[in-house]
Amino acid sequence: MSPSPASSPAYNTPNYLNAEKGVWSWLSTLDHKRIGVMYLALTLTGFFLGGVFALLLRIELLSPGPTVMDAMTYNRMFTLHGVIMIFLFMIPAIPGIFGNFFIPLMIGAQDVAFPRINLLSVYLYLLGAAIAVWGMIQGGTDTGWTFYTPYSTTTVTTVAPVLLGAFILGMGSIVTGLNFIVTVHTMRAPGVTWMRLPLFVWAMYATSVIQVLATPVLGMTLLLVAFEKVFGFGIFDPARGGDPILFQHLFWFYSHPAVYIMVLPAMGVVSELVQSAARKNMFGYKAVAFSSLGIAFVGFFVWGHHLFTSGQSTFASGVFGVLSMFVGLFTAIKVFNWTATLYKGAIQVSAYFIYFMGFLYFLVFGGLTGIALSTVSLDVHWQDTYFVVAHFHFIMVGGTIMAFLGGLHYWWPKMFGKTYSERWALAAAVLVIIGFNATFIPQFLLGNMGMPRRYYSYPEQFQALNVASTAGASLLAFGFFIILFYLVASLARGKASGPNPYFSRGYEWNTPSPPNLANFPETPVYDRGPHEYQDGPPAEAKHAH
Amino acid sequence: MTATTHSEGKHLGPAQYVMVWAALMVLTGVTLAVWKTDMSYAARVVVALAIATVKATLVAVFFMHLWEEQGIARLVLVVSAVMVALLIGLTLVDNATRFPFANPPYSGSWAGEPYQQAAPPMQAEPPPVRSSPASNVEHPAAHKP
Amino acid sequence: MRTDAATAPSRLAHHFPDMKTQEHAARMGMWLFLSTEILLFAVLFAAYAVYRYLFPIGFEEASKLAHVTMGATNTVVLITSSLTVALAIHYARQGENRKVVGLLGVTILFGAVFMVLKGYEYYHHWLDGQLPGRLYHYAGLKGPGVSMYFTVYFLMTGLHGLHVLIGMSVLGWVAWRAGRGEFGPGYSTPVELSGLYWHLVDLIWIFLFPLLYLV
Repeated sequence: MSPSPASSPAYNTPNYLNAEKGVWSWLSTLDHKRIGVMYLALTLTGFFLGGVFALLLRIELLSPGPTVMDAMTYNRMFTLHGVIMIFLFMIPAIPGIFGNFFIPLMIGAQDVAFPRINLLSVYLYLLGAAIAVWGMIQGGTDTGWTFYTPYSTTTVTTVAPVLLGAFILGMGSIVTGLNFIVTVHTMRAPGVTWMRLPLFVWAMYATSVIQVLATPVLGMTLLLVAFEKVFGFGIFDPARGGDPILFQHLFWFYSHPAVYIMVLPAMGVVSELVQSAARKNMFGYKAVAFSSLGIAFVGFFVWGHHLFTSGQSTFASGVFGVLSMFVGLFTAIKVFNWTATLYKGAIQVSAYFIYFMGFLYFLVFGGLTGIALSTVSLDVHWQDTYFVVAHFHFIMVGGTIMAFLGGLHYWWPKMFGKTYSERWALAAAVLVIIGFNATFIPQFLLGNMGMPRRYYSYPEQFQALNVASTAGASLLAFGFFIILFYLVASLARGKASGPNPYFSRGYEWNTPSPPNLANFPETPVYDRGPHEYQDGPPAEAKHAH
Repeated sequence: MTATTHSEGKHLGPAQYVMVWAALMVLTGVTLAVWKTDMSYAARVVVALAIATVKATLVAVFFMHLWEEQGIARLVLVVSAVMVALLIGLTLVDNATRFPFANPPYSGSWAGEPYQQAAPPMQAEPPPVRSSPASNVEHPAAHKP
Repeated sequence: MRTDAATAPSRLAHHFPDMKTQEHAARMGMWLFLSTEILLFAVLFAAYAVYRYLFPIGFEEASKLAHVTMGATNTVVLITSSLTVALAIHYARQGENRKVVGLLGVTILFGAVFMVLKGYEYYHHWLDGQLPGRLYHYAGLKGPGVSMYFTVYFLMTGLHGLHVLIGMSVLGWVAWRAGRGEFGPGYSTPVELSGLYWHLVDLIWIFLFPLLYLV
């Protein structure tokens, strides 16, 4: 891929990137590290595509009435923004990139349990994405990514390709989750007991359980919508005795756990970041590990909070509202433990640490607004307003994307053996955090004032805050472009990073940077857990100048 | 000298499989017998589900080797069953406790007290041409075979 | 035609430490896949449960139109095919590949019988106009929930029938491999995994039959 600087002995050559050459060696690879890199390229493409739609939406919302597009186009834009961001980035990114790359390294394995199925998941992603994008080019649909019936079953817009694309992408998600569960159960090196598993692996395990259990429900539900649209089966059609709210139950049974598919891996990444940045073991390892499982489990019980204003019974709404608050418990456990890890730690401030702090702030505030939303009497006021939009963007962008960027910056030297400019990274991190706040805090205010979501127009009094939000979005986009720029530049011209530039004691740093094609020359045996900083810094740090 | 992960000496033989099969046949017969009795509607559903669960357990434990398999397979099956029960259970709770007219038209809860709007009558036979059925029922063609 | 274990190609993949772990992983992977199939059908069971709750009389009357004899025969057929598959796994573990081929062949035959009977049922429902949703035009029974019963019936049995066909194909491929003498005490995983799939197909029918035909 990139030429290794001749003057830098710390860059590991040959490595997994250049051990085999040629396009076909990539397309047919069974190496989990190459598959992780392919996911990186694919999901980042999806992210930027979804971001383009987001910017177009924000431009339209600069003024009331049609600004650059009409209502129908706007509806298609937000549908595609949602579908692409969720199915092409948020769900597959951290599992596909960091899960694939690092789980085997973190448990001392040579690869995941089923490498060929791992490659299959990449092709399922490609196929699903291609079909969804093709549907987009055909004009796309305007149902929202939630495809609510009866509109989705009666609309004339091209729903079917988007449904089919989402179905296939879901299959890829299931396959990834299945692979990780079996890998963690069967391929841990001697000495890696369950209680010595890196917390990232715990989080990915919990995520994989959700992926395996919840995604089939989405697949079947979308298939039912397609059948109803094409054949008129009427399973959601009141004229034939159907219940449109049944669709919502089935859809959200997947889609609520899906948001934990999006956030649990981020929490896992952050657990790794904080231990490395603070040079300290996780405070309350068991609590953090089990809280991942707790979130996965309880996350299945709460889907009805998306149906508070849809016609669901008040009794069921009450039940779901109370259950929804329990999920906050497990997140709170994590937040307290992460903070306690920082306490009396030897914190090194780096770009990934800034992202961790941003993550913490956004997760707490976004999460608190979630608890507020789970109160039925409050949600009646906020449902389908920008308050909800700001809430989930706080968690998904402010939470997951901050963690994603933090992980990307932390693990970039390991994956590619190159160093990026720390100054640019710090500046971009600050820019992204400021831009994010500027984008979404106005949206909380707008939503509380009553501005509905998924509308291309709004009353005059909302314009100032909308303009502020668009300005913030532009800043945010600018920050993302800066990150893309210096990361790509580091591949071409960055200094070699050496095996462990952050002197982290995570298991994955026991390999060269970038790692060899074969992870370990022979099966490692571990006699300590990861991140055991009570033993002092790792060996490399003692020789550092 | 088997290289499988099953515990040694716990393998079932063909005779045991045939016995399980026989039990399943008996249970199928019981299901059909129950169907012919005069039990109430709700009781029939409960009994049918109970017998089906027993049969499913037999298939899972013996034919699918959960009897000898390590714990993770049992956990996977049990957790899946819990999720299915959760999906069906909580959705039914919603439909069961809704304001009646929020349920689909002419569904069971519509006909409850105090709303006395009965569903249009169930027609198992084509009505004779001379009678005048309720206005919301279609007239089948008179020459229907 | 038995393949000698000593000269057989090593089936151990490079990333597994030993065959025991590899087979354990394969079995675990299959069970996880089965759980996704269970959740897939769960959607239809949920729809069934909701609409049966909402339209008790409509469903009860409509289920009288189902062909119970066919359904009961199919139940017997599928359970027996589960037996033959379980026996096939037993003999595969002992390396008796001839018996495996025979038993899998019988299983596939039973699967075909199932599909034929199902096809017969579908054909008669079609003749009578007892079709899903807007296609329903059977004059002998009208009322709320009746067409919904048939929608749910066709979706559930249709998806199940698709899985029977997939199972038959997979078993056919495994039978072909058994015909080449590939299975023995050290290696019978494909038979076990495909057997697990077939048993799941049977499991689902065990619930489908009473709920759709009898209640």
